[in-house]
Amino acid sequence: MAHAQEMDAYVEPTGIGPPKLGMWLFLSGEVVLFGGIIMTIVLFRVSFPGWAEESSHTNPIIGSVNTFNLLTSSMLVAVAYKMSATGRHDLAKLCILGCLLFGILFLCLKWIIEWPTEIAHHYTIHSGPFWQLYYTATGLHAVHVLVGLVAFVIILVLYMGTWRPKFTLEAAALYWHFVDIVWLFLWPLFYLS
Amino acid sequence: MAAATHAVHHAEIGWVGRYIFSTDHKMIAKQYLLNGLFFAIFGGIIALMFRVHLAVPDAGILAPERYNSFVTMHGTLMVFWVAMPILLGFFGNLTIPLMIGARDMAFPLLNMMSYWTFFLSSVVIMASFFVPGGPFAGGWTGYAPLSVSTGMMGVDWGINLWVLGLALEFTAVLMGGINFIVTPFVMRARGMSIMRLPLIIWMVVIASLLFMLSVGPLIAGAFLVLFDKNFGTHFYLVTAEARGDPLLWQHLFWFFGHPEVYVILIPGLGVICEIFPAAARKPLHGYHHIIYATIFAGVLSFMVWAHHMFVAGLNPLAAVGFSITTIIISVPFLVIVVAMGLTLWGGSLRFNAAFLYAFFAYCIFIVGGLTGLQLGATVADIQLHDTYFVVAHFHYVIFASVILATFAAVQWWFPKMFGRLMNETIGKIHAISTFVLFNIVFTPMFILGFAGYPRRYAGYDHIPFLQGWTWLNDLASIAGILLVLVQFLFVFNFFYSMRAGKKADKNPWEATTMEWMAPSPPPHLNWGDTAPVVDRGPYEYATDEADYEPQGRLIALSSGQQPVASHQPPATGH
Repeated sequence: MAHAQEMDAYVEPTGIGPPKLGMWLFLSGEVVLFGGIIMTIVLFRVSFPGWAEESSHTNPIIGSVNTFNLLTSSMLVAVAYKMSATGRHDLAKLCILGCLLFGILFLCLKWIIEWPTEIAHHYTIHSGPFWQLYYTATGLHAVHVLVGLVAFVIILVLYMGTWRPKFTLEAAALYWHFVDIVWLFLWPLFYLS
Repeated sequence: MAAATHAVHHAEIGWVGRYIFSTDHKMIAKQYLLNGLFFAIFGGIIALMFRVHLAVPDAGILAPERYNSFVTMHGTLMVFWVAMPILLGFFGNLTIPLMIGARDMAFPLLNMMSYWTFFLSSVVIMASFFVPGGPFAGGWTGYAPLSVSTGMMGVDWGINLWVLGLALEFTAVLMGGINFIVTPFVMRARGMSIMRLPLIIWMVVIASLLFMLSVGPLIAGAFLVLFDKNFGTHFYLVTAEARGDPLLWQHLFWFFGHPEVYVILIPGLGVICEIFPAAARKPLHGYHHIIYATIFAGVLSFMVWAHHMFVAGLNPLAAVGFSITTIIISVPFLVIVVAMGLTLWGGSLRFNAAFLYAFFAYCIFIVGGLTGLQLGATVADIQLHDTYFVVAHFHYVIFASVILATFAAVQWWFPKMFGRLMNETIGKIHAISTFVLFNIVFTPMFILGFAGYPRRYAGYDHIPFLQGWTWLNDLASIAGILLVLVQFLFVFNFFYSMRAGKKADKNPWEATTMEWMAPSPPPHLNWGDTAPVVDRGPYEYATDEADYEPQGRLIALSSGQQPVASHQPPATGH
C-alpha cells in the first residue's frame, strides 16, 4: 500500500531483511550451544581412556548414510530457494518435498533402526561416558532435525496455496544448513573416531 | 516493518490486545518492568528474612536448609528474574523503537511471545517454593555435582523446576535479544547512522549479543544436570561405578557467567550515559571511546571465566593467564568511567532525582570495579575467595547497574510510559537514603571478608575467630533491613505518580534524543501521521546555536512532497 511504501522511505536502507538477520543471530546462539556440547565431548574423550573402544560399537554405515541424507537434503533446499527466487515454483515445491523425505529418512534410520538396535545390545544412556554423550548430543541434534522438518511441512503447505515464500524459505534453508553442519561435526566424533 | 505499518490501518484493538497480549513495544516494556519489580520486592524480602536470621541466628527464624534455599533464590531471582527483564526487556523495549525513530520492533509477535515465555518462567520458579523438598538450595551458581547429589534440600523437585525455569527464561531473553539486535540494524529512521545511535541502544545491542553468544554452553550444561539428576547419567557425578567430571559445570557455567555479568551491567551504564549529558548540559565526553571500550570489554569477557575458579584445582599456569585477562578488562571500564566523569566536569548540573540515582550508581560502580581488580589477582583471590569480600564486590557492581540505574531509568522515562512525572522530592529522599544505607550494608562486608568471614553460612556465633566482628555483621544486618524497607518509598512513588503525578509535556528534561520528540505517552506506533528524520548526533548540548539541539525532527506524512534529510542521499527503498 502507498502509505507503507512512503513510510519505508523514512527508514535507513540496510539491504538485509529482518528474518535473515534474525536467523543468523539465532544460529550464532545455536553454534555456542553445540559448541558447549562438542567441547564436553572433547573433554571426556581426552580424560576417558576407553573412548575409542566404545565408539567402535556404533554403526558407521548408518552414520555415513545419514550424512548422505542430510547433505542431499541441504542441497535440495538450496535448489528450492533458487527455483523459488527465479519463479519456477513447481520445481521449488518438488525440491522441498525431496528435502523433507531425506530428512524423514534420517530420523527413521536413527530412531527406528539405529537406537533400538544399540539399546537391544545394552548400549544405553547408562553405559558410560561415551554412550551418555552419544545419546545426548545426537538426540539434541535429532530434535533440531525434527523442528526443521516441521518448519518445512508448514512452508510446503502454505506454498501449495497462493503464498510465495521469500525470506521465510531463506531463513529455513539457513537453519537447515546449520543442522547439517552440526552433523558434520558429530559424525566423525561418534562414528569415525 | 510491513506488519507494523499494516497495523496503522487496523488501530481498533480490544482490551486484551492492548493490555495483555499486546504487541506494542511500550506495553511489553511495562509488562517486563512490573514483572521485574515484583521479583525485586520478593527477592528483597527474602534477603531481609535471611539478614534478620543472621542477626539472631539462634532464634530459629530459618532452619539452616531454609537459609541455604533463601540465599540461593535471592541470587537466582535478582540476577535472572529482576536484572534480565528490566535491563534488557524493559530498557530495550522502551528505548529502542522510540530512540531510533521506528514504529515498533522488527518482530512484534516474537516480542509478545518473549514476554509471555518470561511470564511462564516466572510461574515455574515461583512454583518451586511450593513443591516437596522446597526450592533449590545449591547456590545461584548451581554447582554440580553438589546440585545433583542426593541429601541436599531442594534436590527432589527444586532443582528440576530451577533448571526448567531458567531454560524458559533464557528462551524468553533470546527471543527478545533477536529483536533488540535486529531492530536497530534494519529499522533506523533516515539519517540515524550507526554512529549516531544513543549509547543505551549500543549497550542493549552489545549486551544482547553477549548473552546470545554465551548462554549456549550453560543450556547444554543444564540439560546434563537434569540427565544426571533424573536419568542416572554421570556427566558430573563421581561415584563408585562411574566417573563424571566435577569441574565441567564450573567451566560451562562461568563461560556464560562472566559475559552475563556484563549483560546486566552495561545497559545500566547506558542509562548513566543518557542522563549525565542532559543533567550536565554538556555533550557526552568520548562517545566513540565508550562504544569501542564496551565492545573490547565484551570480547574480552569471553576469556576471563576461569577467574571464578582459582581455588577449584585449576592449573596455576592457566590461573596466571586468566588473571592477566581479568586485570586487562578493567582498562575499558576505566575508559568508560573516566568519560562519564569528564561529561560532568565543568557542566552546570541539574540535581534532579534521575541524576542523583545515576550519579550514585556511578559512584558505587567505581568501588565495585576497583575491588574486582583485587579479586582478579590470583594471590589475593586465594585469600578472599568465598568470603564476604566477594559478596560486597558483587553487590557494589550489580546494585549500581541493576537497582540504581533502574530507578534512574524509571524516573527518567516515566513520562514516556505514563505521560506523567514521578515525584521529585520522594525520588531524592529515596535516592539519598538508598545510597547511604547501601554503603552501610556493604562496606562492612569488605572488612568482614578480609577478616575471613565465609559467605553462605547460616550463623557465625559458634566460630571462635570471628567473634570480634559480630557487631559489624549486625550493623550490616540492621542497615540491610532498613534498606529493603526504604524501597517501599519508590513503590509508593511509582504507583502514586502513575495516578496523580504532574502531567508531563513532550520533553520535560530538555533532552536531545528522539524519544523526546514523541508525545508523552507516545501513541500506538509512536509517530502518528509524521515520520522522524535524524539530523545530528545524540548529545548536542551547549552548541553555538542553542542550549540543546534535538537529534532530529518530525515531518508530515502524506504531504505529497518528499522531504530529504540534508546530507542523506534520496530514498532508494529496498
